[in-house]
Amino acid sequence: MLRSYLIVAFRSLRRRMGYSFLNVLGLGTGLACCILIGLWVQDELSYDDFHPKAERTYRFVNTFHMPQVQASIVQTPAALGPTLEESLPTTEHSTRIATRDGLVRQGERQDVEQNILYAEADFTKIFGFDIIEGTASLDEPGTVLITPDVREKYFGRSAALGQTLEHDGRELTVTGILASPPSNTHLDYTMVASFASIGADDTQWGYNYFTTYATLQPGTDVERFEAQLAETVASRLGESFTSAGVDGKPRQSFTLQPITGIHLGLGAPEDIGSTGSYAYVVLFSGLALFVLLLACINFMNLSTARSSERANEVGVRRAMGAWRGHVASQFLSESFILTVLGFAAAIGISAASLPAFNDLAGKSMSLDVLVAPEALAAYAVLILVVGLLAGSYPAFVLSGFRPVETLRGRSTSSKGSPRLRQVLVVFQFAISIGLIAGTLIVRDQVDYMQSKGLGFDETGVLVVEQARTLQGAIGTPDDARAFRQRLSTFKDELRQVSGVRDVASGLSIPGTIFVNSMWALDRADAEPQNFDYTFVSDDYVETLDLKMVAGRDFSSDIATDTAAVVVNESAARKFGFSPEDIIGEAVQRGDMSIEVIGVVDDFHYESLHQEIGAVLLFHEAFRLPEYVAVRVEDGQTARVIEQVRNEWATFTDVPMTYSFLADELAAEYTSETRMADLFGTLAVLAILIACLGLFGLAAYAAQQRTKEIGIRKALGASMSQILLQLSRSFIALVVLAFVVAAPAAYLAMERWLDQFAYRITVGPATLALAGALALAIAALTVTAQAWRAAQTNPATALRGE
Amino acid sequence: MIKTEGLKKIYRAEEVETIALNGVGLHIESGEFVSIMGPSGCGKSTLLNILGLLDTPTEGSHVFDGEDVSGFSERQRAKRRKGNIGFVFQSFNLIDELTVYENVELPLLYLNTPSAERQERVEAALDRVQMTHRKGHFPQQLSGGQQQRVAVARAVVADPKLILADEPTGNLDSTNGTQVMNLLADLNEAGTTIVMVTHSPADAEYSGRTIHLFDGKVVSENFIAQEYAAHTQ
Repeated sequence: MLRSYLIVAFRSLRRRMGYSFLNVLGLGTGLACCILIGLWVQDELSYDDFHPKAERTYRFVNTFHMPQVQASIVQTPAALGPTLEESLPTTEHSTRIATRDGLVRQGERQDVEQNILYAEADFTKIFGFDIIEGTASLDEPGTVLITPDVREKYFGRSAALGQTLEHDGRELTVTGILASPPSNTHLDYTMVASFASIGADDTQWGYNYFTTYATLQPGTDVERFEAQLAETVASRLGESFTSAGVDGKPRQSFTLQPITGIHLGLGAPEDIGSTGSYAYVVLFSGLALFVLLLACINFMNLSTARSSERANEVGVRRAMGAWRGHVASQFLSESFILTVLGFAAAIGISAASLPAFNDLAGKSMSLDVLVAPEALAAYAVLILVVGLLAGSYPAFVLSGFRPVETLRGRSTSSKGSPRLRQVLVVFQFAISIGLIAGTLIVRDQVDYMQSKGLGFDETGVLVVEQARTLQGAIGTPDDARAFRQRLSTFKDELRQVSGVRDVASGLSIPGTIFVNSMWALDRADAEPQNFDYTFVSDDYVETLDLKMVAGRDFSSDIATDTAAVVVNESAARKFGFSPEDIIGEAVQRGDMSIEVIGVVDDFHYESLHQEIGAVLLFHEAFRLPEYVAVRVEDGQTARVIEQVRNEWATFTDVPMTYSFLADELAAEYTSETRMADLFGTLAVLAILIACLGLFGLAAYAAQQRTKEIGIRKALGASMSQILLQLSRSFIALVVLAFVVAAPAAYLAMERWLDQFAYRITVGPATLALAGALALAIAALTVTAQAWRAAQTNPATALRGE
Repeated sequence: MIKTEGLKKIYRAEEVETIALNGVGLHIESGEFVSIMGPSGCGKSTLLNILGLLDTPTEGSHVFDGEDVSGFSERQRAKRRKGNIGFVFQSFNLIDELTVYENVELPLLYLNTPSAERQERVEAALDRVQMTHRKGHFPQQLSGGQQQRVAVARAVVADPKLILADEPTGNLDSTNGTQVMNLLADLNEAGTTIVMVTHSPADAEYSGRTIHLFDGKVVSENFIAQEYAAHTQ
């Protein structure tokens, strides 16, 4: 019997080639979309799950409860690690990690390396990174594990073990080769050196420099562990610690974030940030299922629409003695064959589009994952679910036909199933319109962020990272003086380069980290408040094109300006002054008192996710700068870079690293840009699938109404009247879909936009555009079919009966 | 074999009530060949559908093979139908996706007949209608007469007690029509009960008895078909 089902199913599908093709293509696209998103989700969820004790390994999160600062960071004090080892026996392993970057030398060879970790011996027990060669020991000071890339760079083909590298003035002996970190870990490194090489004050609770990780004994209760830790810390630090926080909390608390949750930001306060987003994982999983649902709906629609064609067959079978179950099995077989074909198409589509998808999602997944055993198991489940989902409704409807009616040629298809088909079409287009609207809104927001006036001119600014590569060489005040002298010469030389308009230096520039601390007005009753601040050169304001709103900029002609501060308008207001009135006041911390000489207009020194903060710009005489900013005149960039490179070579033998300010700022919105791209792709797929379905339904409707069209034409209806007649009902469905989708899209996107301090408002125009796009595409699809139907000769159409 | 009394079938649309059968009493003995005639809309096909257990009467009793089936559920009727009643339709109603052989095989599949026996019986049925040479063809590749012969083979393959034919020659030319009628007559001779709806007095001649329906009622029963012709002309 099964064989008979399959044979008939195949023949039937072959005979209705066009319909089968639409169905397979629609299902294939939907499934491919599901497969790719599935791979992406699986990759996102796999972060850091490969460590041997991943399920009981944690990173410490450090939360401040002070009146001025309530925030969480992942940097912890030096004393935390040793405290765990001494006082919390359920700690199985722990390590502190200091992350550095900077110049690495080996003989003649040198380069700037990022993510150089200094970690304690337990590092190799906690993390599952493979040792390729040598030993995994990080006990001794002055030892380092390097990745194959680093070995290649500094040692070429010669042996690296036992050789030394220099970083920050320290000699590090290579004791092992450590595999490069896989793509699915939050922890990036090029080299891992022993913590003992830098050392730390194990009793220090005041400064937060290190990340701390721990693996707990099996069965340890995390909440109890956290409570014990809080007690231990309190007993060590006493009253000043335990009562310094708000609402009776201690000044600081330490909590555990599961290592597997780090990438997606799970298990920790939101403000510590994360590279991935759990919300996006959920969102895109949901969207992928929706797209698959759309494809299944197509299947159901096309199958039930064709039902009257099959009705006669059902009648005959039942007259011949078939049970309802027989007929249902027949149609389910067809559904499964189509699903399997759709799956084959989906695998092909997935494989072909994986590289593009990798680009889109910023991943590097390989084709292997498509044929991994888990993937195959997932496919089997999907085939079963989709085959049943897509096939059960048609099977149910068709098998329910009463033989006596179908045999007399009275079609039962018009009895209510069109209503369901209409509901399903509305559902499909509602999702499509929602996705289109989402895409447009995300794009608008990204455009807005990238083009919003930032309060300074970010274009044409070349940023050379410099000082950090030299800091290892600066030990004494004399060194620092000499460095400043050389830097000053370098900047002067740059100013001579034609095409360079201004040159400035500073500890931070927009997009990099600004320091944060408590400052008060220099008055007897002033309360300290939290401010961002940095240290800048005389020409910083001019180079970045910040706008002065009161007072004056730093001037190299006025010697006392090195002990002055320029604040932004928000800072002036936070101190309780208008920009004009704050000039001449002074800010103070400890025994320093620094005069306010000018106020600049607010500028976005952080991404537009954050509200503009209150910022103080002190003179770089206090602190060595880390960046040199060069404003280049239009069209001179390539030549200027070459010149800057030459000048750099005479300034230092360290390789130059540079970037463009505008690029760096745009990179703040990578995640949004990516989301816009993914959204856009899903929207295209959804509308494609919906249109495939609509195309099939319209073709069917046109065919069903051949006689009606013939009569209308014979009675003198014009082409356009017939087109309108045939298209109208479908267009109405799309309009209805818009009515459903627009408010939903509006609410969802408003929520998404709420995460930005600076955001667009969703206007009716965007929603209308989304609706219009869907309508236009739907109209094209339907009209194409209606056109064909309207073309037919009425005589032929009428003879058909 | 078939006995009905006061058989009524009423179709109710929203406001209109159509009486298709209005108290039909019939008695058909095993081995008979009965024609049902009457103008369009007199209820012929409705009657045939009820006799074939494809439809249920609104009122009245219907005894088939010694069992009152008028109150049967859809499922019970399907079970009773299987293997006991064969159908021949005006529009052949072969399944396009199945070959001649597979179309004929279909009733046996639903009866779970073992495959060797199936093959034997299908071959025999095809042989009977002289369609063995076309058994691998699809219905679209056959002429109307050939299709109807296949349909007859399909109707008899399960060896039913009763064959119901609904204007079996309605879509055929006279040569093919005669062939099909001869086949039905042969079957009747071999003992199968046949009930046939027809418009054609010539076809009715093949049967032993003709029942005339008018407005849902039996108006006369003529044992000699010619009388009908004389009566209507």
